Amino acid sequence: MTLILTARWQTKDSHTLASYESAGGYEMWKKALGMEPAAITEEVKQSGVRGRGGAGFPTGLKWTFVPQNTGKPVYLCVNADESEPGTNKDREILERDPHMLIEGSLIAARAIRCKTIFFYIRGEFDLAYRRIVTAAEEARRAGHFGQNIHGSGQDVDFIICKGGGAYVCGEETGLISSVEGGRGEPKVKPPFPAVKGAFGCPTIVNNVETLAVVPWVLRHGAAAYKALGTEKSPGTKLFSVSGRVKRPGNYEVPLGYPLKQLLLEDCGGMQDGYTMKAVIPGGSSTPVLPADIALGVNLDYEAMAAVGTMLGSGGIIVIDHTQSMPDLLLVLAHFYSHESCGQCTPCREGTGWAHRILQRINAGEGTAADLKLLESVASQMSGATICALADALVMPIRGFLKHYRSEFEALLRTEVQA
Amino acid sequence: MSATTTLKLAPEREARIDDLQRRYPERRATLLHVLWEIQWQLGWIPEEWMVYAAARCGVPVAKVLGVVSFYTMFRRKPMGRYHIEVCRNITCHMLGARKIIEHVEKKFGVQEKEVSACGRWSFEEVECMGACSWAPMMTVNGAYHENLTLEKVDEILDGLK
Amino acid sequence: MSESPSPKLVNVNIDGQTVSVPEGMPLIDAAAKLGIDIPRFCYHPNLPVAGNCRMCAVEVDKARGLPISCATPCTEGMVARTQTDTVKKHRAAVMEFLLVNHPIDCPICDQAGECTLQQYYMQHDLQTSRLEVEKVHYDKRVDIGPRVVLDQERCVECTRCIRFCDHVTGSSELLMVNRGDHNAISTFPGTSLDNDYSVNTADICPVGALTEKDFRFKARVWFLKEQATICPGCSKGCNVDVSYGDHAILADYNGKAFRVKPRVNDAVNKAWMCDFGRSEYRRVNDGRLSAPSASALAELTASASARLAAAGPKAVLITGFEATLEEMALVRALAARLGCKALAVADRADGKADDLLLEADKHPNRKGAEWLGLAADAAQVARALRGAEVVLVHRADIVGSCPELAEAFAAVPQRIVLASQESATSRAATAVLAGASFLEKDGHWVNSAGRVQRIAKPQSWRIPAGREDDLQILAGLGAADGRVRAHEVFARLAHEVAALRGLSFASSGQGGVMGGGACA
Repeated sequence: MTLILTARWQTKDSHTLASYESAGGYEMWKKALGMEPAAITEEVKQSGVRGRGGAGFPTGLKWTFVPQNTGKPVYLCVNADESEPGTNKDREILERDPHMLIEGSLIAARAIRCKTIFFYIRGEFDLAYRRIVTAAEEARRAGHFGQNIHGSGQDVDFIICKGGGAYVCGEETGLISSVEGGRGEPKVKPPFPAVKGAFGCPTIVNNVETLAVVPWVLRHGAAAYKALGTEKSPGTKLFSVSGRVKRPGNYEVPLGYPLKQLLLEDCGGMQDGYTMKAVIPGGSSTPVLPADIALGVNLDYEAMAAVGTMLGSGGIIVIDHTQSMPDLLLVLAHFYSHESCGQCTPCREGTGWAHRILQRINAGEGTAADLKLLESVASQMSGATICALADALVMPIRGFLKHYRSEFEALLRTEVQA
Repeated sequence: MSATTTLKLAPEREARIDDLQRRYPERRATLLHVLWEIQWQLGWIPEEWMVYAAARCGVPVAKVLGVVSFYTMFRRKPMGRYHIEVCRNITCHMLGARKIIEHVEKKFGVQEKEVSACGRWSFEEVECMGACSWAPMMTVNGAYHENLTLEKVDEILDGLK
Repeated sequence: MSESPSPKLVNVNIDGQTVSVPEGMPLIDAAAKLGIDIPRFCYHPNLPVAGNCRMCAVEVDKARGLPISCATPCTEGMVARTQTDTVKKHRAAVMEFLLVNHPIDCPICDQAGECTLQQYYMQHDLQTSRLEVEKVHYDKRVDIGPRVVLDQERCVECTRCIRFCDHVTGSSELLMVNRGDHNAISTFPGTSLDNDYSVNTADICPVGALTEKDFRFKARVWFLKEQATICPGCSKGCNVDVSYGDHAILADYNGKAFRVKPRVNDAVNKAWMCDFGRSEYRRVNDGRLSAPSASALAELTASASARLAAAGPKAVLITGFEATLEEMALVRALAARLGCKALAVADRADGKADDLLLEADKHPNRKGAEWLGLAADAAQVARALRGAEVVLVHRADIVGSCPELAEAFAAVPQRIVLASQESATSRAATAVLAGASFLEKDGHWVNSAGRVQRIAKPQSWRIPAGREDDLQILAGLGAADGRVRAHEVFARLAHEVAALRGLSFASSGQGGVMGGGACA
């Protein structure tokens, strides 16, 4: 199996510059410095790489949205704000191969003619933060970024921004608001960041995993990347598996890989004494799948959509038979309500209301009307907001109620007859 | 109304801020960097240091409070010498976070965001920390401790001076 | 002044009607041009777009979901629908969400009766509450500034107040603290909402979160009406609405003014006014002069008229920069008949000025006096008073404002004062004629930019017996034969004064009209 992201993870000191350069690191950056930006973009576009943060938008295509000749600087923001529950893949990239990510970011910067890269990493990350700071310093000293890089006459700066703790800063315009020194409040779109983003300038925001594959694509070519995975979902993806499986962790597999194989073979199946009840396939914002459906689906964008969920961030949360679904939904509702930036009415009030309704239900004080109300609140939040955080709670509400309504109904108190 | 201040951070912090302010297109955008430097030095962000941050970044002091209060990691009051965060999100929850939370609360007699009487301990429940595959987890002064059991929790915490 | 190129016009179709608007105009404003009022909380035409309330969302062809019309720029051929079931359901949903944590304070909230939440509930919601959980609670009665009170719970977080302080006054006192449904409006500890325009935040607050301290618990707005007029506070001439009592049954409020709020005029004050002007309504209520009866006033007027006629050229007529053009015209006419001097003088010292609205000249009609050739300084007035037998002082507190003039005034044997409020001058008078406040007359003031703007009396307002409109008193003093009408006086003036040529009551009505002509 071809490994792109995790190829060097078993190598000792894989995170160091010495280790990276000994494996050919930064050669593609040097090559890119001599390439036409449009040529780099074309290669990435041809490879079919799709954004790995959760949206799955074709990366090369996104880069073409940047208008040239506006006279304004172009910015690249690397989204290392990984906060989607169930997801810890970007973290391990940062810890084990930060240089591959830096190189990918630099190549991307050249493609969109960006001179300043803002590397935005969530404030909570501990080792990952130290690793990227050290790696950036190594790269700077080696002249891989800064001014007149390797005598090319080009300048690219690399600034690491430490987040303050807010899931909503993983939303691209929330991230931009934070980079601009403000509350991490998403912005009304349109205009889209590629046209008007950070500081009012064209900005591309890319996920860590997306950028990390760029050096490989340049080295091996678009066709080689496209040859992996499926036709519409090319390449490999890093999946985080958590829950009561024997071997949770991050796994890189080609897209299209059967989820059953990943969970039962690679992850060793369920821990002794536990059976699989359900799987949330792509981070908590994606609709839950009952185990039987989960074990029949492949890990690609289209297959997931076909069973009514999403590939998302690739955060696979395995739910075991001992879990109460209403209890888990309450945990998620607390999360989204806590993380809502509070700007727009449906999300600010709807997530809080949904959370309090679920508290009632879990406390045994809910009624049948409360279940209907929960569905109604979800409907009313959906599609009406500045960003998708509200939708990210709507998906679990709908998914949980669709497949596990009886568990909620069992908690309802019997109506008092008038 | 621009803020003014006579406060200064340690020289190497001031130097880092100066460097960043040269590289950013706008000084105001360095606010989060400045807030981190303050919190790294002092352990929290007192009001007069918010005024410092406002002056340093050329933003209204009101904006600084808006930013500090938005992000969960910025502290508006001091925490204990050891601040413990336990993740309460879905996988950690499934794998026993609530028991760990109860255990820590009882062990130090602290409720959420409270500091123990002796000043050594404070505690907070947090949302997903990106450690789901190694759940349940906690941090002690930001350092990740994963694959926890109640015994491991005691081992880690009892080992702190 | 160079011409800016005309903006490109585009045709948009809203609810089946077409309108031609500048390209890029927000759809919500284009709808307003068609008389379609799309509901909104956070949008304000004089503030940057926030797009957070989501109330203004409508259906737009070729656009996904429900775009917010405040952030949808008009393009050629755009088709939008504001009354579909989807839009209506969405509005009801937004209303329901806003009411989740909103305290039902209506019985004790000043905003009741002019509250957007109440209004939209009636227009767009009318659903029974489905809320069975605790509301989130915050601070109420927060003393956020010297002239404004904050109730954090009532706030719908539209952020208009924050945007006002950031972009209009640039003083940035207000912030949003916390996150999510714990968001609340606040100030930095030790600071307060204390700028010269703070009460505007209460105007633009769509609910009762920010309210004016001065008006707190004074009157229910359904007992009040609003009169469009001009603020008398300075030469800017901000357009305002003065609220006054007018109710058939609850008469306690009638005949009193309660507050001043800005009225939109893009050419003068946009949607704003300063905090100083807010207290101008007190001129209507406080320290009012009055004769014991209408007949007493008529007698006083007749006797004053006789004294003036007897003095002829030895009389002096002084008016102030707060008089209307029409009043100044009659003063001038009276002077012509008597063969004496007429002068207009300042009685307020220059005060605070800024880049926004405040102007140093604290009179509303100095320019009018200049155009009518009446403007004079204190030295000229003092000279004119020397040796005078009778002086008529109209609407100028010369005694209280200038020691030199006070002395000169005291030396005149007959001192007739025509004013609406008590002052040092009225107290030093030998005869006092009780005139009308600025809310009780029709007339014009000219602001510093030369804009001729109308002040007006509410039609239903009855000037109590013992007081009279200044114009009638001036006519009775000999300026005219019989009763006069303001618009006739103005029409004659427009003939006589070059700067007013071509103007009339009809043209000055809405928003005022630039005068000055050749001598602007």
